[in-house]
Amino acid sequence: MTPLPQSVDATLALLSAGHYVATRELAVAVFLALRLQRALLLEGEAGVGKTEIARTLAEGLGRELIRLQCYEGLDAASALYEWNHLRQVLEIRIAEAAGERSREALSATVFDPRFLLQRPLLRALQPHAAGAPVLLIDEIDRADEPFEAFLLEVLSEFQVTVPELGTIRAAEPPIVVVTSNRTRELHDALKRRCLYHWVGYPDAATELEILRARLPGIEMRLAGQVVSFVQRLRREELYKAPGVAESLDWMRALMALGVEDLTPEWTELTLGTLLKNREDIDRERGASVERLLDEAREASLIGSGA
Amino acid sequence: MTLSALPRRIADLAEVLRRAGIAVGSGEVLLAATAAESVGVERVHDLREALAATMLRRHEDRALFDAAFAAVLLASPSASDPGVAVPSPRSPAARNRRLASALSSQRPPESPPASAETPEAYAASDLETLRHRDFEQMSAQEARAALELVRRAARWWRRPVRRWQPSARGPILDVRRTLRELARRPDAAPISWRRRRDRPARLVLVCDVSGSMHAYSRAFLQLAHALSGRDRSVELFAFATRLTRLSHLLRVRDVDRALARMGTAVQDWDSGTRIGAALAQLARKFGSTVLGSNTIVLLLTDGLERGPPEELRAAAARLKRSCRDVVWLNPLLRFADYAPLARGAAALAETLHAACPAHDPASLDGLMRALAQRGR
Repeated sequence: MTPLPQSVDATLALLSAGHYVATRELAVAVFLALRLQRALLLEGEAGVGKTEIARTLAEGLGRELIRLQCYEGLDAASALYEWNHLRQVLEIRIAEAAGERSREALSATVFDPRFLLQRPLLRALQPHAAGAPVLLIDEIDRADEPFEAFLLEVLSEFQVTVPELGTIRAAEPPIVVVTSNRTRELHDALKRRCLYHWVGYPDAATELEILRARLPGIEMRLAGQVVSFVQRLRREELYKAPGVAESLDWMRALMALGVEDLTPEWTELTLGTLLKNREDIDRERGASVERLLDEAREASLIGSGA
Repeated sequence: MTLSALPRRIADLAEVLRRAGIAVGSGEVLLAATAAESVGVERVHDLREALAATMLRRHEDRALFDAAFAAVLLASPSASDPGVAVPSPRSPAARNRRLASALSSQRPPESPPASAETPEAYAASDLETLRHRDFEQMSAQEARAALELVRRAARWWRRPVRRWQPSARGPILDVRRTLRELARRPDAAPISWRRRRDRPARLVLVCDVSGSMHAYSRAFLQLAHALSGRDRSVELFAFATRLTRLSHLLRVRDVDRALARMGTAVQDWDSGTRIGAALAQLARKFGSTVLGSNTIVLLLTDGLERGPPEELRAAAARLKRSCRDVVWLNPLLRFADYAPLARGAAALAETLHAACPAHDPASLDGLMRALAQRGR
């Protein structure tokens, strides 16, 4: 088991060892979350690498990553545990066939941990050989409010009660990362349990660094053009601005096509990897792409000359 | 700065933030002090991030926080005044009005005096007569009393607690109920099924706060506040020339205080109207997050548009496509012979079809009643 980082610099090193290019601001928040044993709430636009932080942490610390993807209608049963009813009924029939009639004996067999379907939250509270796991609660804003309240309870106590089995309590609280795309405001009570960090779009230098870390062996000149184009595209009035995930996709697409120099033709042909919305594509296609590309080329020429 | 002086400074910072309207509890102050100790004071940048991560809960407050941090923690302490350091008017912090008033120790006159105008003074029969009084015609006292009627209108709206409902044909086996029945009647128990209840709609209220709308937008904001007390998924936006998201201010308990805070948050209050630009912004910035196939947008505006009507038409159409429905509330419908002839109103009428009245408590009541039936 890798020990937790003892300083902000160590945290930064841990993240960059996992090929995650983090700002120092983010490293401070991550360091504090680990040190103070608080959940880390990450808010930001889609595709800026919120989920990736949890994955990098789990990998870097050698912990298991347990992911709970939230959605509307998610309830405690599918997040915590369920009894495997079918197997329970089957077990009763087998016991009956074997001549077992006593109620106590039957219920003792039926409510056995073997028939417990463990869902992410319960698994996160169980002891792990490699140390407390990283619990990623992804897109909490998509779950509805009763679930948020339930989660609050779990996060404050790190224990749950299964009526038939008793209370299960985490010996060591898991490292909790909560992400939100801000489709709605989260409840203040939940936010109060967490450290808060806003993950924004990276600046050009950072984004270039991300491309280099994630896609080894890329053509740096092309990457520079890609980054300055995307940076400019984000300033346009779009329904959905491209995130870092989209830049990576685009870079991969261009590499797969063997593009060496960003031309208007190639850009238009591959615009679908950056913009996922018909209005946005219609808007940017043509003159706008050329203008942005000219600006981007100029900027990256100056950048490479310096 | 030394580590020992830090807790004091953090408490001062919390006080300034509180005065600027950012809720910072004592728990957060303690946590912030611990966090500060963990990162140390060698790097101011780290210290600032540590305090931000522990004391802030909204990205929008960040700029204000940075200014307050600079003013309180980076200013050199004067020996005579151990309390909050008040920056000189030339300091960058003082440029922010909200922060400046928070730094001067005087409390801003936030809540309007809730003096002799007690709504309780209104008997039930008097309230009844207010039901059909135009919001614009109400005296200040009547408007306060009408708040109760607005709250009653909001009571029609409620989100169901249960997520499942019994169903004759499934598709999901209701194991719990089946087993319960089986225990009761082992031989003749029916198999029970359940299905997911239809998701209740989510309301997004969009309020025109330009000058001509004053009395109506006030009532509409009160309605939003009351609704949010019943259903926390309610979202609120306001616009005159620009769109501002106000949803978080719905959480302010006291309605007067909430409305006062909204007044400060909306910078272009009481100016001209650009409905098209605002709607386009709503669809663009919040189309993929706040809006969705299950959202009903309530748009309160009189349709008096200053921008080009084509822009408004396109924006309204786009908005309509990004949610379940847009209901146009038009206070001008109080005039019996009103027709949407103004160019903006015509464009809205063409794209959104129906408009509902929203000029008195009774019309809001009817609206909420209709929505409550349709919204599930």
